[in-house]
Amino acid sequence: MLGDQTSLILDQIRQASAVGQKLQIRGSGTKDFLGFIAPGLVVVETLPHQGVINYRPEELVVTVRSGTRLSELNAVLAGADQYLAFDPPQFGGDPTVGGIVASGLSGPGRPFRGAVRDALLGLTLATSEGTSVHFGGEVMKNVAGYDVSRLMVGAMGTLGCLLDVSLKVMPKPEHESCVSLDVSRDTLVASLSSWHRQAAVTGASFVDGKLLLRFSGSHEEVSRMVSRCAGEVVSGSVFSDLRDLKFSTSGDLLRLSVAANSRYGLDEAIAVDWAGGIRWLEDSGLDFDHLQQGHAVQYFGRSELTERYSPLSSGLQNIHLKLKQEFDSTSLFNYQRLYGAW
Amino acid sequence: MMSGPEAITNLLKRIPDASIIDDPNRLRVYESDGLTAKKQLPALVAIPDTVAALQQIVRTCYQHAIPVVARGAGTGLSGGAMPHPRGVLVSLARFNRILEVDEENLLARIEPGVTNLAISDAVSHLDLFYAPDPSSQVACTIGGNVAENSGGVHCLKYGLTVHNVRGLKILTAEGDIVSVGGVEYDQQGFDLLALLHGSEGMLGIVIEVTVNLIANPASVAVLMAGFDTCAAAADAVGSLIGQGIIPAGLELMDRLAIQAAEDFVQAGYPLDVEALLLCELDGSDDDVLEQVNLVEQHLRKCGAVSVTVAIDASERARLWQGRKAAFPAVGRISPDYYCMDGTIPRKQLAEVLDRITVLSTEYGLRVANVFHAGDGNLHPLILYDANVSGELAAAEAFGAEILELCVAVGGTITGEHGVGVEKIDQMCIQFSDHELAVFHGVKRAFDIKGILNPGKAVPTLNRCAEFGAMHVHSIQASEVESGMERF
Ligand SMILES: Cc1cc2nc3c(=O)[nH]c(=O)nc-3n(C[C@H](O)[C@H](O)[C@H](O)COP(=O)(O)OP(=O)(O)OC[C@H]3O[C@@H](n4cnc5c(N)ncnc54)[C@H](O)[C@@H]3O)c2cc1C
Repeated sequence: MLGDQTSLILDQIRQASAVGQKLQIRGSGTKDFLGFIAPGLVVVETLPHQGVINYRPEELVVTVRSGTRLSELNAVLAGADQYLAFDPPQFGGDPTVGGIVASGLSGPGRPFRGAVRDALLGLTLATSEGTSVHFGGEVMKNVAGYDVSRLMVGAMGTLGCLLDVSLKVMPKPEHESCVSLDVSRDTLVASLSSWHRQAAVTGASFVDGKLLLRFSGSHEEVSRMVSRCAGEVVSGSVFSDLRDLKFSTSGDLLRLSVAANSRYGLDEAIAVDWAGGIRWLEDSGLDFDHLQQGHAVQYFGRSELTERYSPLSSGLQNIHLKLKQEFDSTSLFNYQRLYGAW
Repeated sequence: MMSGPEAITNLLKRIPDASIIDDPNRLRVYESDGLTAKKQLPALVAIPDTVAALQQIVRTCYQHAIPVVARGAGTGLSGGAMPHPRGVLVSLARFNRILEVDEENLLARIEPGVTNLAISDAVSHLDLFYAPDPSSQVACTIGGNVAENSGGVHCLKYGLTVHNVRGLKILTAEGDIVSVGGVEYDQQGFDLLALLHGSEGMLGIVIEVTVNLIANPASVAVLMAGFDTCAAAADAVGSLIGQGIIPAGLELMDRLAIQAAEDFVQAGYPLDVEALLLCELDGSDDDVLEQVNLVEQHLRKCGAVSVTVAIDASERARLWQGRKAAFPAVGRISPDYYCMDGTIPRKQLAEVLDRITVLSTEYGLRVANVFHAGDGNLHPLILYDANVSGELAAAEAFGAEILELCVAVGGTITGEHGVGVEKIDQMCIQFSDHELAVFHGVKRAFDIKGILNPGKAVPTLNRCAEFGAMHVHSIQASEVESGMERF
C-alpha cells in the first residue's frame, strides 16, 4: 500500500527504540554506496510513504512525502513548466525525495542555482522518540525558531527520519544550450572563474579534457553566449552524465570539495565540477589524515575504509556529537553512516 | 549579576582591550534595539577590540554563568539585542574590517561589525555586490544579519542571508573558536551554517563571515505600477510569479506608506493610487528588455492604472529610496510605530491585508503596509502613541492578532526580523511542545549553561503553558464581547 505511512513509520521507530534495535532509513537505495552501513541494522523503508501532498505552482512550492520518487516529482513539476533548480544526482536510479534531502547532494548547477538546502523550506521529521515534529513551512521566508529543517540536509538521516518535505521550485528556463571547449589544465581555474561571473552561465565543469558550459535564459541571450564562446554545441546530457558520475570507470572514486581556484587535486582530477569547487579523483589513495585542503568523501572503492567522510575539526566534532546526543542519543538512526563514533 | 557582581566586574575590567562600561548613564545607550518599546539596562557593556579580548570576556562569563548578549548595530526589530539585567552586553562595533576580497572565488571575508552596505561598497569597483539588502543596510551589521537571517528587497531572486554566506567563524559559549563552512561550496556533516543563521545570538557569537559576491547584472529596470485597490496589487504579485517571472525584487506599498515616503524623500510616487508595486528586473540586456514588456503587459492586465519604467540608474535609485526610507518615513507621521513581520503564502495576501484593515478599525489604530510582497513577507506598521495610555498595549494586541492570522493561513510569525523578546509568546502558537523541546535540545548542544542571549527566541514550555491559559481566557472574553468568530 502506498500513501501516508506516517503512523507505521512512527510505530516502527518506537518499537525499535524499545528493544534497542538500530535502524537504517532507506528510500530507493540509489545512495547505498554512500557512507558506511553498519551491519545488523533493520531497514525502515520510506518508499511506500509516497505522494505529492500539496503543489502550488504559483507559490513555487511543492510538499511531498519522503518516499516520493524523483521521476514522479519531476513529472508533476514539468506539468507546470517548473523544476528543481538543484538538480539532484540520480546515480542511474530513481532516488526518493527523502534521500535527496538527507544526502544534500546537488547537481552541476549548484554554484549558479543553489543547493538542496537552499530550496528546502520545511519538513516533518520522525524523531528517535517516535514523535512527529514539523519545522519551517511552505513560505519563502521563515525565521521562527532554529532552522532545524536545513540541519537535516547532509545529515544522512542520522538525526531523524524525514516524513514530508517542502521544496521551493522554479520556473524552467526558456532555453538552454551546452557547449564543449578545449582548455588546458593550466588555465582551467581562471577560465571557470571568469565564466562563473557571466549571468547566463548555469554550469561550468571539466570532463575528458573539455570545458563544459551550460547557458540558460531567453533564446536570444543563450544563442548570443553560445556564439561568443565559439565551442562545439553538445547535448545537455553532458551535465546529467557528469551529475550521475558516468565518467567514472575504475571503481575507486573520491569527491574532493575545495576552493574553486585551488590547485589542489586539479592535475589528478578526472572531472571538475561546480565551477572548480569539486574535483573527482580516481584511485587517489588519499589518506584523510593527510588532506591538505577542503574535505572529501570516498564514493566508490576502498571498501576497507569504514570512515567514508573526511574527519571534522575537533570543534565541529564536538558540536556534532552533542547534537547527535540531543536528537538521537542511542544512535537509533543510521548508526555510523556518517562518522564511526555515532 | 550573579555571585559577587563587583568581583566579576573587576575580573572583566582587567581584561586588556575589553573596554568595559558600567556607568549607568553610558549604559543607557544600549538599553534597547530597534524595538524601543522593550527597554532594559545591562549590568555591563563590553566593546572589545580584539578576538582575544572577546574570548576572555566570554570565558569569564561562562565560568560564572553570566548572560552574554551580542549586539551589532542595534537595528533589530524584535528585541533580540535587548540587554539582560544580570548580563554583559557585548558590542561588536569595533570588529569592522573587511579582511579579504577574493575576486576569483567571488567571496569576501569580513568581521561581524561591518555594515551590510559597506560590503557592496567595498567590491563595487570589481563590478560585484553582496545581494541581501535590508532597508537598514547603511547601519545594520553582517553579524546581526546572520543572527537574524535578514532579507531585503532583492531577496526574491537572490535569497536571504543564509543563501549568501559560505562560512562563519563563531565563538562558542565556552569561548572556543569554531569554523563552520568556509571557501568550499558545501560543508562537512550537518548544515551548521544554516542552523546558525537566524539563531539570534543564542548558539554562538559570530566573529567572522565569508559572504558570496555576485557579478552586477548587465542591465536593470524598475517598474512602478499604481493600483486602485490593495487587493488588486496583491493579486498581481501572485499572478506575476505564477507566470514564471521571478523579479529581483517585488515590493508593495499602500496609500499611507506611499504618502509618508513621498513626503519624506520625494521619490516621485503617484499620490492618487491605493497601492504601488515596485518591480525590479535584472539580467542581460536582451532578457531585461523582453521581461519589461511582459511584466508591464501583465501588470496592466491585473488592473494597474499606471506603469512607469525606470532604466536610468539615478531614476531607479530614487524609486527605491522611497521604499527603503519607508519605515523612518512612517516614523514621521506617528509618534511610534510597531513593525510586524509575518510571512504568508502569496495567494493569501489580499485576504490578509483586508483582514488587517478590519482589525485596524477595530483597534482604532492606523496601519501602513510596505513589504516584500514577492516573498509574501508582510510588514504592517501599526501606528500608535506610547504617551497615550493604553495605545502601546493595544498595538501589541493588534500585532499579536496579525501574527496569529499569519499562522492560521499557513504562514509564519516572522520572515526576517526574528522572534527576540517580541514574538516569544506567538512561538507557542506556531510550535508544539515536542517541537519546542527540539529547539531546547539544539540550544543545550551549543550552550549547556544557557549564557548566550537567554530568554529570547525560544519560550520555555512553562511559559507556553501560562500563555496558553491566558490566551484561551482572553479569546473567550473577546468572543463574548464582539460575538465575532475567530479565524
Ligand atoms: C528602518 C529599519 C529597516 C529594516 N529593514 C529590514 C529589512 O528590510 N530586512 C530585514 O531582514 N531586517 C530589517 N530590519 C531589521 C534589522 O536591521 C535586521 O534584523 C539586522 O540584521 C539587525 O542587524 P544589527 O547589526 O542591527 O543587529 P542587532 O540589532 O544589534 O542584533 C540583532 C540580533 O543579532 C544578534 N547579534 C548581533 N550581532 C551578532 C554577532 N556578531 N553574533 C551573534 N549574534 C549577533 C543580537 O544578539 C540580536 O539577537 C530593519 C530595521 C530597521 C530599523
